[in-house]
Amino acid sequence: MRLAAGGHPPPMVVRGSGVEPLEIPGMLVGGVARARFAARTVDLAAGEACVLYTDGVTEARGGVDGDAEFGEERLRRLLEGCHVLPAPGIAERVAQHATAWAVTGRDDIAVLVVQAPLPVAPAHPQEPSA
Amino acid sequence: MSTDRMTTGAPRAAAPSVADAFFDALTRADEQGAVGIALGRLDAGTPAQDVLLHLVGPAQERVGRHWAAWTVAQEHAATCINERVAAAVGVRTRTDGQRGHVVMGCLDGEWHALPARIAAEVLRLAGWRVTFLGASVPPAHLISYLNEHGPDVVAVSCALPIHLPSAHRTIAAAQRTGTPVLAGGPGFGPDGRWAATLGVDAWVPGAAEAVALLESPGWPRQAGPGRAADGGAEYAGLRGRRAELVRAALHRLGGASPLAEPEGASGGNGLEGQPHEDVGRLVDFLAAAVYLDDADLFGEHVGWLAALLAARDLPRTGVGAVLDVLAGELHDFPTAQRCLHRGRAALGA
Repeated sequence: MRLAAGGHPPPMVVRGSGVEPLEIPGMLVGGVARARFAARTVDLAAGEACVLYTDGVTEARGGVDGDAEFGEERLRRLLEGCHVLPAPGIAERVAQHATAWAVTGRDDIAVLVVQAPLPVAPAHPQEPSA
Repeated sequence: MSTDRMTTGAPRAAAPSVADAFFDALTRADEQGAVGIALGRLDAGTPAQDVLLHLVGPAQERVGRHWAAWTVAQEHAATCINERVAAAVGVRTRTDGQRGHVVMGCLDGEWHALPARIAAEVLRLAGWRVTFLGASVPPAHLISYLNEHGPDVVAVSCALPIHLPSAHRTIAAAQRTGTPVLAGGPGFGPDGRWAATLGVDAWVPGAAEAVALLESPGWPRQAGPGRAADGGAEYAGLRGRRAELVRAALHRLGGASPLAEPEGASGGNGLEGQPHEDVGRLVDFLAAAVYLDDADLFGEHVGWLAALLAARDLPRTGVGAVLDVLAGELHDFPTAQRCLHRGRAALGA
């Protein structure tokens, strides 16, 4: 997958081994007439996903006193272990937690998840112990 | 599968073998397998609404019952696959949509969309034109949609009663557009008793009942007057003091979630979110119970939490501490005291 960005928050790559924020340099879209954007390539194994989102997610303000940003770190932790979810489930999880976090007002939120097809688990799996 | 009789007539549950194979596919997040089984039922002559109501719906209830054994991600994955099955079954059958226009969506904050999705498809199959707005519809979006499109009915779904106080304003605003409001889902209480408190035009327990009701001559074509209620001074007081109550409870818990594992345990129990969100949820359930003047609402939620904690061998002391703090802070709130008392009883020793 090839990615370019124009001042967007770093996409999160969700792998079985963890979540990596992907910093991509680039000038703000619409900021300058001759903007330049860098490109990066990521490889996604089966089930792994790349989560793209607008700053309405990370800049949602909430928490105990209502003034803490949702932030990239909270998003990264939210996505841990999500490589087992289908793409719509990952996108919904981000939207759900960011809107639940925001106590005052709402910025627009857009979330796009690109995922390599999920592997299918073998039949008759062992139930995880409670 | 030789015992699988293909008869027409009264709807019936899918054969156990089919139901098990379908549930197994959901368990493994096997989308192609699950869609294949459901579409196979259609090919074998089972009506689409029966596949939705007797295969997809029951499988989702079964997913819901696995909360003690599954991770949140696993439950979410199974639900996602089931939603895609519902969509795949829906698009296989064309209908003319001449009965009228239904707008359906989940109330603000409500993310359990599958029951509403099933109901939307079943209504569509029954000849209605259905616009499905999805999970957690912001009230302003819903109202502007109603004003713009003037549907015959707006159907709202709610799985958790915690959303009811804010839902009340949405319902009243929808009724002011002249659109009658049909409510569904367990969030409106056993037998829909809280739906009645909120003044909706009708409540149904499920999709099949929604079809029957909208076809009945008794269905109002115009919205009723609704019901004004604001939960009184106690509810306003609770809302106003929410942040302060959450802070006080967190202070007692040393900043930990009431659902957290005891000190020294490792690995995470998969239950707790942000500590202030877990405390806030208890305060919000209390607020909903006060708004509806129904102590059972709070008692049932605490009882559910107690069962959840017991299933994971976790102590109930964190939840108990939150109840203590709330009881102390809200000593001059008689309805809240009644609810907290019921919660304490539901939590057990």
